Amino acid sequence: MVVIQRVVKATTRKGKKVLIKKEPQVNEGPKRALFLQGRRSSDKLRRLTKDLFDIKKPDAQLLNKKNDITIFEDATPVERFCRKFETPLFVMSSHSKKRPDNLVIGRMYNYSLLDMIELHVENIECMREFACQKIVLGTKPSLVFNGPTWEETEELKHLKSLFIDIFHREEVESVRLQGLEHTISFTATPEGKILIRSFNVLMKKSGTRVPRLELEEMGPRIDLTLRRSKLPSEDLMKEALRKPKELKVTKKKNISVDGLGTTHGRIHVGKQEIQKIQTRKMKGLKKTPEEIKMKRAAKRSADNNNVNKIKKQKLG
Amino acid sequence: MVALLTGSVLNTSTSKYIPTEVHKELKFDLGNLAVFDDSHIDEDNLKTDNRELYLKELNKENVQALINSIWGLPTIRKDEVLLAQLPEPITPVPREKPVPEKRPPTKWERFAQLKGIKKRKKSRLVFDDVTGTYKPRWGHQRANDQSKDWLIELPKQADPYMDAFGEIKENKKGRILKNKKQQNNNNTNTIDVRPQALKKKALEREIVLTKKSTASLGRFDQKLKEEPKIKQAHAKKNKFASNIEPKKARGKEQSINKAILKKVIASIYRPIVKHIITSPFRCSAGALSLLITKVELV
Repeated sequence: MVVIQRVVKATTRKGKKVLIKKEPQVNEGPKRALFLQGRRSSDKLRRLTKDLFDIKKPDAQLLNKKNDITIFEDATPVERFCRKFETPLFVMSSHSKKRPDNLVIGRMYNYSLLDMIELHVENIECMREFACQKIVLGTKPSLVFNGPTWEETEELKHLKSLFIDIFHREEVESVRLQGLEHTISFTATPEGKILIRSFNVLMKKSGTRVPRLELEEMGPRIDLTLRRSKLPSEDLMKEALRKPKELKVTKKKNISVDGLGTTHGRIHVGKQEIQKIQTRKMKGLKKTPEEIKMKRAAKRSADNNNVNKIKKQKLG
Repeated sequence: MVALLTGSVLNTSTSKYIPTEVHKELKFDLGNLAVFDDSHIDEDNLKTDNRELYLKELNKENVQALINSIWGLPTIRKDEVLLAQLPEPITPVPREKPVPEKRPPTKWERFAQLKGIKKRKKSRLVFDDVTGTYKPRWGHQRANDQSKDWLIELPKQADPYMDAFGEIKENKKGRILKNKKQQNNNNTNTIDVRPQALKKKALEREIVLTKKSTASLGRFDQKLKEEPKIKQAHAKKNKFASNIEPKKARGKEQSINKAILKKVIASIYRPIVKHIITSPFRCSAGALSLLITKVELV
């Protein structure tokens, strides 16, 4: 059944602004995440959701009620929620006998499901259990991915992309050097576990320009295992990764950067007539009035000779 | 991905401090502030009680390497804050919504483009003659508000019994309606994008076609003064041969009509014959032969 969607027209100016905000834009801001529950939730999951929500604030929405959603069978309820709250990312927690402590992380493209990965939360230690100073809300964290397996399987590749998507907040052009306070590390063990650790970065003196770092564990300590996954179709992912023309960097012609970082430029100069180049005037080399007279006389005689030659040719 | 050995000149340290150099081969995605460590993780370290310590040390090295490379980026000073300029992110992150389509230019935008008219920014505040202050150009409490006039000077020829105040209100309503209509015209997709010249050609062609669609092919149509001369087409005339003529002449007309009849009947009978021949059921030979002879006769 085809659902006919009413074209929503705004009656007020405020409503119109809200609709304009929802339209696709060239530069997109930080992605919002939706935290929701399935049929039942466990204590572990509740604590985890609260912690992740605290990290992701203010770009996050937390829903407290239970929902009768089985996402791998039918993802439309989640799609509807994501459309309502304008959140392209979602984290759904559910607990059942078959799949205890289940966490599904996924993302949407154009309000429809792009991909999602199901994880089993084995162990969690909340932020509250670590007695240290926490970070300021909204700092962009640095992400560390340990382990060779991140590049080996398709699922882990997508999971890496998902984690970057959730935690990197916003794409920025420049970052304050003193502002790198938070770091989140994702370790993929050879057994197949994923360990997430979050640290507070302290910068200490090092005698050089670059500071020496000390890490202090502050955030949730999460141990995960992979369960099911739904990877995106090739063409949908390609469409989602497409960059708008406005953001494509136009390469400047005749400028190149070599391996060492030096910028080389090519200047195209026109043909130069070396004989007629204006050089510096040296007063000593200037022709005297007599010399100019001599030159003129010589030229005149040469002309006469030429004229005689032409006359001879004509006659002859 | 750029693999860097971060033992750069920046990090030559004195003996008093702990060195910040990291001699590890790592991959960086500085646009996303990410570092990828592909080195093998010691499983034994993870199983012992020193697991967290091991992870902390591992991460410390990697983040130190990341900081080293970020500090190596070109910096700018903005509002007394030192900023490092990050390169483009390497790991592709999908968009949340598709790339917006460019909406087609409106009627005014097309005209302005043709004429080379550029937008000039108008100031928000305009001098109001009545109060002698600067007031907004439009909106609430605007300058030179016609609707607030308590006196309207009528010109000599104007009708003194006409409601001049009401006329101002009516004019405003008319302007609002016109604006809405024009907006709707812009929003619909049926914008004529063709320039005027092409439209004229299309019209001329239409005239020619309509003329030709009469039975006399436009021979007896009333021509306008400046209408261009169109090549006169001639109607096809059907020549009918006589039906009553002697046998030789009759043959032609007869054979033509016979051929037409054959075609018509064959088109009716052919599918039936085909069905009979191809059908799994047997058909009586008599009926079949009758049908076939019927087709042959004709």
